[in-house]
Amino acid sequence: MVPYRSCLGLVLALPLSLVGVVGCSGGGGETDTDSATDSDTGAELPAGCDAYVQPSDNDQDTLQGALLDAAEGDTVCLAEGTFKFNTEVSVSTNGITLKGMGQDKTLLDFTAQDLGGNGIRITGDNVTVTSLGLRDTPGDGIRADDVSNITFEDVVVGWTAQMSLSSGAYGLYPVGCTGVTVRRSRVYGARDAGIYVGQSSNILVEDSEADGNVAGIEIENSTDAVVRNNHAHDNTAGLLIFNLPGLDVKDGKRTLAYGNLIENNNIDNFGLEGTAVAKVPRGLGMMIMASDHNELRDNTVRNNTSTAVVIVAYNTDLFDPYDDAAYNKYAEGNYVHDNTFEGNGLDPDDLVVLLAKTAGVPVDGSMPIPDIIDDGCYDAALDNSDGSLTNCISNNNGGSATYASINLCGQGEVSMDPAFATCTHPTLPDVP
Amino acid sequence: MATMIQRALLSSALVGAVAAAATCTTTDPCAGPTRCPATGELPFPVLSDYDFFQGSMVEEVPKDGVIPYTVVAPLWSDQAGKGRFIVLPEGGKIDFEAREGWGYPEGSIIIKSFYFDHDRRDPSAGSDTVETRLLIRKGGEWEPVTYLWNEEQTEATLLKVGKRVEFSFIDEDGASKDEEYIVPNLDQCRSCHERSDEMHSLGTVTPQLNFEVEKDGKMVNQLEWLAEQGLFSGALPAVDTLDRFAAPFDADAFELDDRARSYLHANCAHCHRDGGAANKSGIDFLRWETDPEQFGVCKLPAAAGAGAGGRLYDILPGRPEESIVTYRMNSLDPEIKMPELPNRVIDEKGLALITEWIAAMPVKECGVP
Repeated sequence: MVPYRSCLGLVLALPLSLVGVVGCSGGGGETDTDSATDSDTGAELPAGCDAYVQPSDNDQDTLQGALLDAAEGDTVCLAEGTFKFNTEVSVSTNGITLKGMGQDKTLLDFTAQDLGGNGIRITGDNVTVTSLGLRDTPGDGIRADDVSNITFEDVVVGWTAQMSLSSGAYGLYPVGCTGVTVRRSRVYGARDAGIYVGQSSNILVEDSEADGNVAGIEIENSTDAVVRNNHAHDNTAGLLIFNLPGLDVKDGKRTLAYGNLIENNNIDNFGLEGTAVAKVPRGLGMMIMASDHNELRDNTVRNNTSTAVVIVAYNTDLFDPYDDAAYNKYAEGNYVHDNTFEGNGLDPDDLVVLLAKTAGVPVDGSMPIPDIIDDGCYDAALDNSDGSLTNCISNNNGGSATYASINLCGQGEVSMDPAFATCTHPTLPDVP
Repeated sequence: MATMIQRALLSSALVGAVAAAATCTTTDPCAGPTRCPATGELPFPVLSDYDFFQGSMVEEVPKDGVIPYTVVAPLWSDQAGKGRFIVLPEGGKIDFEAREGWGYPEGSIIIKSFYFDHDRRDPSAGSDTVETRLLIRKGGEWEPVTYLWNEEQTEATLLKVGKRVEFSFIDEDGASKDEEYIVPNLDQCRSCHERSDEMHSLGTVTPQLNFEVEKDGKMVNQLEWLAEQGLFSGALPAVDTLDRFAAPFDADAFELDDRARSYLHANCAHCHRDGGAANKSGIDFLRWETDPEQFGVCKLPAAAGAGAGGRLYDILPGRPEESIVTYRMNSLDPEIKMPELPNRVIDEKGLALITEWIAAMPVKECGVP
């Protein structure tokens, strides 16, 4: 507790309600007792902070001003309390850490925002956002655009309205980034994807929670992601690994998802008509669409009413037709193994019923929808003689998980025998 | 908000009178057209330190070396009028490029002021200048700054964090109106001017300046006029060999496609291009882009979310009412509106232009060869 002493001067200057939470709770064990002072106010700074912003009657200017004044590598700290914004907050300097006093202690309230498409927009490299919460941005929560090494840690982004079209689309929203970390964070209430990583590479999403969104976690047009030990629940769908046409970065692949608990993703799809996720069936655990060489292993997927795993091409009967000659619409070479499936497929969405019927699965309630549905499609222009494009399953529920290949492209055959698709692919590397 | 600036009525007599009334004596060498800027590191704290203008600063009568220019396809800024100038350092020249990427010498400054007429039926009724933005060439990069004008219209002060400014005016129908204008913060400057981590001038590109302007009562090509002012390091190529944008609302002089594409370049392409802030959208509104899918024809949106408004394609040929582009241009909702920053007023003329352009495209079903 010694380092807390250096904050006493500051504590005295704060409203009584804030006393006891000032500054020093972060610091990751640092014992920096040098009493730095804020260059503008002369006030003593909490340890580990290069600027310290407290709630005021003009939070927009005080925080934005501190961020504009910050030098590369600075930590801009936010006190405990509620900060109110009417305009997007931007972080453009490299190496900035924006740090609150805890995800339930420092709240950034965007209810009054009427300018800017995001709550916070990050364009600096090596930025970390940590220990704070965002609420009710009219657009997206925190967007990081085309940056290297963006980190979200202990961040909550959410919308108070439940299943509302007026909520924002994406909570945590790195796009076009190299090096993404989402850790111990939570997104709730997004009317598209809660934790959404788009057109990025080298990604780690771990120990996080997504609930009340249309898609809990979505990895889209992205490559080399590890998604582990997350809890995706009470969304329309838990985890989506998608490639969509018409994007700058195409051909996302190699997402490794393991150790996730994906359950009760059964809320009605409240996505906006015209968006891809609005077409996603309710009650899905995990879905791979048009993405290749992903590995889903050692996940627990339970009580999702449609099914546990769907692997499909981008199907223009369901999704919108596109003009993108460079787009490969097939989901190929994916590997689903050693997962635990329980209680899925008991009340399927109409679309999943349709898929199941294609495979001849009785959908009269006499049996649940199979745990894994694979469309059996691959790009006929490619050579699959070595089976590298085949989606493999292995040892789910100790080998007793149910399965259906529905042969939508006529390249194989309809089969409900797990042995039909039992094979292996090389496993993907984990990260430390 | 009462200062009446007689832009249209400005005369040399008025300039002389104002200069004589200034604190300096008439023999002050800085009272005339010679610049006497402050010393010290740029950017200066107040606009007057630069000494760009003679007489009353807000009237923007340029001193020597402060070169006015204009663009053929302006960015919509809530109908603000704009003053634009280039200032080069002593002996400095611009390395001309045929399309964009002019090479500016260290110490160059590009000036852009934003003003609103008091009465939109009558420009001679004066105006108020809200802000003056500068791009300063420093350390081999452009640094953006803006200066917020005081109510007295006598000085403008460096402002980093941006501001919402309320102002009143008489609209085209003679009705009194109040509007809010957004002075951007410095990151918002960057959000438009930066691409691939480098800042760019958006207005001083060849096709924006390659058109006829009036100088001393005659029509002259602006690039040639700028060359005559000694701005360029080398000889200017023949201007009729260089790209030129269309005036977006001059239907007599330019084809519809040219006008619409020029408008989209000026208002959208700073983000929607390779390296731009919105390059991940997969849309490229550069005037010289030739692939229709690249500029949105039959293109599915990337992550438009609410911005799609239930419409499927950025541009659905022949059907503007089903195209996302027009939906987003016609919104002020922060999640939907395009451009994202900083307008508070829809560009009705621009929207009509793009609507007409899409409507004129032959109807096509997307995704059908």
